[in-house]
Amino acid sequence: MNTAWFITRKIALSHQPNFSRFIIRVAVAAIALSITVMIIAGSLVSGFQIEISTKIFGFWGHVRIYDYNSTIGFQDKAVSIHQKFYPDIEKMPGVKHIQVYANKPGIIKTKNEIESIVVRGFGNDFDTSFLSKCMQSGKTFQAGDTSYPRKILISNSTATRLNLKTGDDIIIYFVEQPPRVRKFKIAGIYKTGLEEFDKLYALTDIADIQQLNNWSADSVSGFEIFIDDVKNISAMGKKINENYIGQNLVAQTMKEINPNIFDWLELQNINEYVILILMTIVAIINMATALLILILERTNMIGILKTQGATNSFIRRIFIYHAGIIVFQGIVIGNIIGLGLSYLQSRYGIIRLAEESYYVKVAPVHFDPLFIAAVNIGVLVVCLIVLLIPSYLVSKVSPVKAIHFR
Amino acid sequence: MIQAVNVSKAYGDIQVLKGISLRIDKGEVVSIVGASGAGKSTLLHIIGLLDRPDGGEVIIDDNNLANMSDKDLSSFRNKHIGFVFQFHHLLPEFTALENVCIPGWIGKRNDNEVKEQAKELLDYLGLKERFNHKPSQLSGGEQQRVAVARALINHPKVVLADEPSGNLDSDNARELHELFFRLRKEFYQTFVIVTHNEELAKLADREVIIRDGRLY
Ligand SMILES: Nc1ncnc2c1ncn2[C@@H]1O[C@H](COP(=O)(O)OP(=O)(O)OP(=O)(O)O)[C@@H](O)[C@H]1O
Ligand SMILES: [Mg+2]
Repeated sequence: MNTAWFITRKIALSHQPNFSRFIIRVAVAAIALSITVMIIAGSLVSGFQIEISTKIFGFWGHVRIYDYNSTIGFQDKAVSIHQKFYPDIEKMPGVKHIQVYANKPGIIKTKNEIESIVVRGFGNDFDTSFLSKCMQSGKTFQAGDTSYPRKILISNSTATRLNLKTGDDIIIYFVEQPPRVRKFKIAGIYKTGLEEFDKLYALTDIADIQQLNNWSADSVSGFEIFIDDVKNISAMGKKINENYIGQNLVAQTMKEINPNIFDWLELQNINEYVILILMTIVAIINMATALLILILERTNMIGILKTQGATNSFIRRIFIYHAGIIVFQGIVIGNIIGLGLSYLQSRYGIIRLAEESYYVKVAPVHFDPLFIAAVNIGVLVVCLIVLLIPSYLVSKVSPVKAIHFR
Repeated sequence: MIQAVNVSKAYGDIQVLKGISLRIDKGEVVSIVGASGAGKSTLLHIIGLLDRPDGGEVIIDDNNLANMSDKDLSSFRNKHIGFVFQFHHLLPEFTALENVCIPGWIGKRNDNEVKEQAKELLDYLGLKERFNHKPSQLSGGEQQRVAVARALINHPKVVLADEPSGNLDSDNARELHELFFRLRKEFYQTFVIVTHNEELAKLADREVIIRDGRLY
């Protein structure tokens, strides 16, 4: 039988002295608050990171293969589609899909406005699943459509600035010697919410881009590869580079192509860590105070147990167990509140964000069971380890003095 | 069996014990008397290993306790010494039975064995109907008898009692004193009793008096 635990249970469940009871409630509340804040912060940060990176990867794929002489905003270098990796790389474990693309910079001109833009051509291997979800009006179309005027998808931000809607015709000037002009019909308006990208890109059939570039149907700007698990992105990028890439080609992950946005996402982790650390400190300070008061209010019991031959470590165990019960209660309550609030946010989107700055309208929530388990176990373990220090107060209680008072 | 050799103890400037030597044999009931503040409790605490003397030593069954670590002293106290104080000092959250069992459990003895013995003891002390009562539900005499049972649970070499009947009315006090002698007679239990009660002091096999830090 674990006598220390038996004693703990009895005193924890019994009517505690008034001040202890109050302090225990404060400590439970503090732990619950810490856990709540940690869970919400963690769920929001990872929800935010996942939501935004999902958008980026959904639109651009994870790894891009292109001629390293190509620079965004200028004329891309042609790359032949006859590559050993196309489309065979789809058989590589971890690779989901590969598709071609071709870019061409141009200028949209309406009656009153002009706007620079990159027209992005997609082929018949284009995976429209992500884009379909982003459509605000109209709909996506397949490559190979021969209607005239040619179809194009523009972003919501371009449409707003140029005051365009689905069904309108637009004229786009392409910078060539001499300049070339093409008329397009807006087949749909998309919005990923990633403003920087949205305002720059329009999408059309790759055949038009090839023709404008005087390329054959076998030439593209490059390839976009989608992988199964974003966690492996760097490893996959490296593997693809090593196994398939030669000549002028380079395979880069979206993280390498857009370091700014991913660094910014990474930066959110620091906010999260700061919150986690602060909340752990709050929990520890409250628990240490609570433990000291529990001990001080029970010096008589400590003294009596010592006269009966209880060692300091035995008595300390009683109080550490007691602290454990308090932390556990706080953790349970904190999880209920934290997960509950996160659920409400994911369900009803109570917290809203400015989409221009954060790319999302509603603060997204992501539940990671591993993270939540780590928070719970971390708080429990850290608290109990730190509490070993104040529990030394037990050895300062002299049995003789404790017995004297009554 | 128990020997205090030239024990001295000071609190600040006050020299409470000035070289006290005392020998207690198995089965003896020794009473310690003296004026208030004479150092009776202090001596009892030192014999009971709750306090260490400044000088001199305590020897129990050839164990010199001066060199023992706190942990070993605790274990020794648990196995071999029982205390009864003026106040019962029972833990209020626990039943009479549990209070009696706790020293046995602290000593990591078998749970059932301890419980059985605790029941026998309480029964012997006339508390058969009180096993599951909390201390607050017991009378002063009953509380003190539970405390005696608790002191006896680990079959100590000696029970050290510090004014055990100091808080009891004369009937209850007499009953408690008779109990001590019955335990001595039937179980050969050794007692050292600090008391202001002259009746009890006279009943003891030996009465020692502390005055000016010395024994007489
Ligand atoms: N922890 C302590 N710190 C300082 N002085 C103490 C301490 N404990 C006891 N004393 C002093 O030592 C002296 C002896 O105390 P002790 O408790 O042994 O007396 P006593 O004989 O038991 O008296 P009483 O009959 O009143 O219980 C007293 O003068 C007391 O004030
Ligand atoms: Mg005293």
